[in-house]
Amino acid sequence: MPAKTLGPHLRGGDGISPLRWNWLAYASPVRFDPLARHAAPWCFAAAALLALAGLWVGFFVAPTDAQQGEVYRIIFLHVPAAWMSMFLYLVMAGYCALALVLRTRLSAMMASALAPTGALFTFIALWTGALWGRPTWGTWWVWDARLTSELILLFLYLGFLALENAIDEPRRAERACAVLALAGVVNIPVIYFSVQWWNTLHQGASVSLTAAPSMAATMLAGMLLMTLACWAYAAGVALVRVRCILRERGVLHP
Amino acid sequence: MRNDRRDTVNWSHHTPYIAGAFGVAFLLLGAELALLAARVRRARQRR
Repeated sequence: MPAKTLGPHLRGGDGISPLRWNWLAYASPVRFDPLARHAAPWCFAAAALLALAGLWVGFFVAPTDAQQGEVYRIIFLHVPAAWMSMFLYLVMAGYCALALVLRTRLSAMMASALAPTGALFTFIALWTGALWGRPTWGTWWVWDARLTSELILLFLYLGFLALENAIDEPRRAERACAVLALAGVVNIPVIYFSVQWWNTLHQGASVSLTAAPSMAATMLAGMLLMTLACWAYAAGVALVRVRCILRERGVLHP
Repeated sequence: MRNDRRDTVNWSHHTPYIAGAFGVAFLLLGAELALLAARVRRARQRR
């Protein structure tokens, strides 16, 4: 869309800094929509290629674990899904904060688009964790701090989706969901640090930003490739979903 | 008897867990993509 058809706050100039101009320009659905349309296929292609590479490294390159045997290979899906469940919630809460503070409707729609995928990754983390726990711990589930806080995260996602669908007026639903999402952010550090704060059956972090990883390089490579694949998948799905929301709410037309 | 670590791994015991984890996860991700594709079609038909 030509810049001259946009409002002055979107065009920049008139005393508005270039940094603010960029932010606001892409908060405009007419600017964002073509960007999302072009980016989404690349995200899906990257997700497919990275997932193939990650699965190949995970199943055919990474060695068998000396203690757990082959079942440890669930790590190549479990850890990326768990990381994505927390990361997507933080991104969703960030968009909710933008929606409340700047009143940008696209931010609220992005949060809405991320919630189902975040819930799905949380469920996958819990499901794969149960299937890993049974042969290694001898149980599908324990009420330890890591597992319980991750389950609370799933309920937060489901609560967000339920609240969104329970309120007919989209603006009111967006505000209510934003407050819920921001209140739930407190659960993310609880999940992350639960294995340090409490004595849990769940193991501590194998990968940290401040310490060397406690696993073989090929295992780490497979896990990181799968994490990038999940990230690209989530980005692609969120972009496509937000384009649907823009049309469903009549902001843009097909 | 060979001293091969794979000999000590009970594949028949572990395979259902690995297959269950990856199978259900990819099934769910595929279902999400299918639902999203249907939503895209509906959004395109809106006037």
